[in-house]
Amino acid sequence: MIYVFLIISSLIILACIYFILSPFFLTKESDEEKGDESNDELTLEAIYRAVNELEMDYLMKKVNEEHYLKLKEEYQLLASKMMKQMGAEKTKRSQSKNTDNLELELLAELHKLRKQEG
Amino acid sequence: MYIIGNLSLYLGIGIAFYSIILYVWGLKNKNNKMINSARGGVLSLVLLSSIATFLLLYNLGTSQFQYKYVAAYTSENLPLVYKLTAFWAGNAGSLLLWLFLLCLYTGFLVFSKEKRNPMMPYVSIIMLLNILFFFIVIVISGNPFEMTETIPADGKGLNPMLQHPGMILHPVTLYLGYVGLAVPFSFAIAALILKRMDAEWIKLTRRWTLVAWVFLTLGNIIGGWWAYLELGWGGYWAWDPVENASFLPWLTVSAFLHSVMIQERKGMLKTWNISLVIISYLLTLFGTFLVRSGVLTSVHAFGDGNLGAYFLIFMVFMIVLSLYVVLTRYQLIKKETNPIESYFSKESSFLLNNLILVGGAFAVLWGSMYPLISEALTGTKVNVGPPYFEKVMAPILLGLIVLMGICPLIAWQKATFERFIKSALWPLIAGVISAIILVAIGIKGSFAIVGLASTVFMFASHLKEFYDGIRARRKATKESVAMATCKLLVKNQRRYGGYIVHIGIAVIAIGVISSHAYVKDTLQTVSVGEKVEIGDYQLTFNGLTEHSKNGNGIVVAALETSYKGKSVGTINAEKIFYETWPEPATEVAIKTNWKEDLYVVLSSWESKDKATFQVKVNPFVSWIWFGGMLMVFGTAIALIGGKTTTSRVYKMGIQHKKAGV
Repeated sequence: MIYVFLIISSLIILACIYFILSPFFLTKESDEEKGDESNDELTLEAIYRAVNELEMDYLMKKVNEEHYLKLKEEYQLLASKMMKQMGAEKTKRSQSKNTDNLELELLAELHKLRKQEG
Repeated sequence: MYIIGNLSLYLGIGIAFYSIILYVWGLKNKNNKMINSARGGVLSLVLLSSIATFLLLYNLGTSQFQYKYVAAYTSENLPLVYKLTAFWAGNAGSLLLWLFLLCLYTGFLVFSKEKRNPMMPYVSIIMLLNILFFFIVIVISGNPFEMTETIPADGKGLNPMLQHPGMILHPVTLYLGYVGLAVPFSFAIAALILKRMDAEWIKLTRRWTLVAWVFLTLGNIIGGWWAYLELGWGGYWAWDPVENASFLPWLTVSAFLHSVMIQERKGMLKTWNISLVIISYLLTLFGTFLVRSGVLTSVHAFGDGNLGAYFLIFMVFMIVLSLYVVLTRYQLIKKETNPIESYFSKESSFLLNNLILVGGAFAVLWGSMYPLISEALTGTKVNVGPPYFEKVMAPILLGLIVLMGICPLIAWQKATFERFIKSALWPLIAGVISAIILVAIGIKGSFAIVGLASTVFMFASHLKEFYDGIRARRKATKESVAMATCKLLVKNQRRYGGYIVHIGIAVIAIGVISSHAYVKDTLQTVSVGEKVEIGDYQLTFNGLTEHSKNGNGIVVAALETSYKGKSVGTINAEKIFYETWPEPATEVAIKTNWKEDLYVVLSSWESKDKATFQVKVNPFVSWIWFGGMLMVFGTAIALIGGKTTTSRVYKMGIQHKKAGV
């Protein structure tokens, strides 16, 4: 019986050695550590959520209309600024869309996002 | 078995040490192969701790009395489920359980989708330091695979008080909570080391923190349920130092769960959040130190002088590490923290809620430590019991309930007093009406009435939130009531999950206040045929009988029970004399309905025909267990929802304003 336990113990040690040493031999390029991927950019989704909560507070009569409209405008300006930035990057690539089309597209994009979220 | 068990533990020390070194080395030299090797080390630790856990379970289940641990906590006639749950009956097993959970959590983290996050190696190092500590402590002070010199014919058996379904779940849930708090702690330290002061670490650990919190909640509730049914003193919370040790991190994590919302949305309270998460983690170590060291007297403690000292050393090490990291980054945290915009806003009310919760935690900590403090200062150990805690905590918890009623009614960013009064009107009316009704039906006790009325106010303000939310949604979408209700929950899981948790707390508060203020109690000696009357109940003593089960002698007192004059059957209060245990155990007879528990304890007897009973009527105790379930349900809903408005919105907004847009 002692031999069985010794064999099992050896297998455990071998498994641990494999887990520890295999990265030195098997690591592929795709497994390499990526750089600093801190997603520190503002997303449209985040703006949508902020506007959504604000609207909810307004509809539930927790904030007054003036405050609601002011904040909503700020968020909308923020969204439009960000969408323009995104659009500019796209335009640089395709050089095919004029600014008016871009505005429409971006508004539709925001509308779609909001619809998805319910 | 002995070889494999010990191999797992000793190899664990080596691999944990190796992984820490490789992580540090890999980070220093930016060598990914080394970091991946350290990751492989974590996988090995999951394997080794799983093997050790499985082996101990096997040894316990098959009564391998050649192992000291098995012989000390089980016996041949113990039911299988309790043989297995003896795993956490003693120091060695419970440390192994802690280690196993720690390795599992670390494994999940290291191989999660965030495995390439730059913070992860630092997080892993902190987790590995914990793992290394537990491996070393188990080997030095509590090896569950230690052999006996001679194999006993039978084991000593399990403490009868631990032979209860509550004890199957209570330690595991509590440990899941304790261990879970190591995750946000590790992320907080990693974020500080990397000087990443944004809310990323909070977003990454939100679910981990919530899971840890819900397990702490469950652990405390199940612990209370076990104490109520098994200890036979009629209560569920005795402010015992060990109970307090699990309540302390619950309070600070509750504060943290609220204040992180402000950091996520506003970039405020960064120092506070980091301090809270560090304190919460350190409190789990402190709680463990209390349980293991035996420095304080408690029914729950299993003291071992050495083990307490090891935990104290580790706790001091972690305090020093945390302080160093926080102090060296303090200016940076301060610089990147945004100020509060308005003092009448949800943010401010959350801050107040935090102060109350932390104040409560301090009061509990002070009361728990007072025997030690008084001994150090005067040489005499002065114990402060439930009267201190009830006196101090009652107003604190009352304040918290009132604030929980107010918070949901206030808007984010900037609220106006008029709007708030308008929103709070109906909940306030509900609270006042409930107080009037309570007085009108003859309920006494002003503090209890204020407490109950405040709870009704809190409950009503949450109902109003649901009502207003559904109405607002219907106004905007023209959906049916049912659809609007479902969508409101589905689209705002965090908010409404949190509200359900609050409603659960309101339900618990009703149970706690009522069972403290309006308990009926009597101690009576009766002969066969005589009656005990208490509240609406009438109990007729039918005599004592004796029988044995699994080798244990059981004395049963049968009591014919009637409620409001109608027979509701017979209840049996028992004393069990365990073959392997010197003290008899009490089995309480309980008759429960929605508004009260009839609670009967067989105290003593002179003969088969004459016995003494302690009989209580505890109002609304079942509400505490139901409220606990509601809290778990609410947390489950909040866990499903995740994405939030981040501080970055605010940051950009500020920049936007500054740019004059």
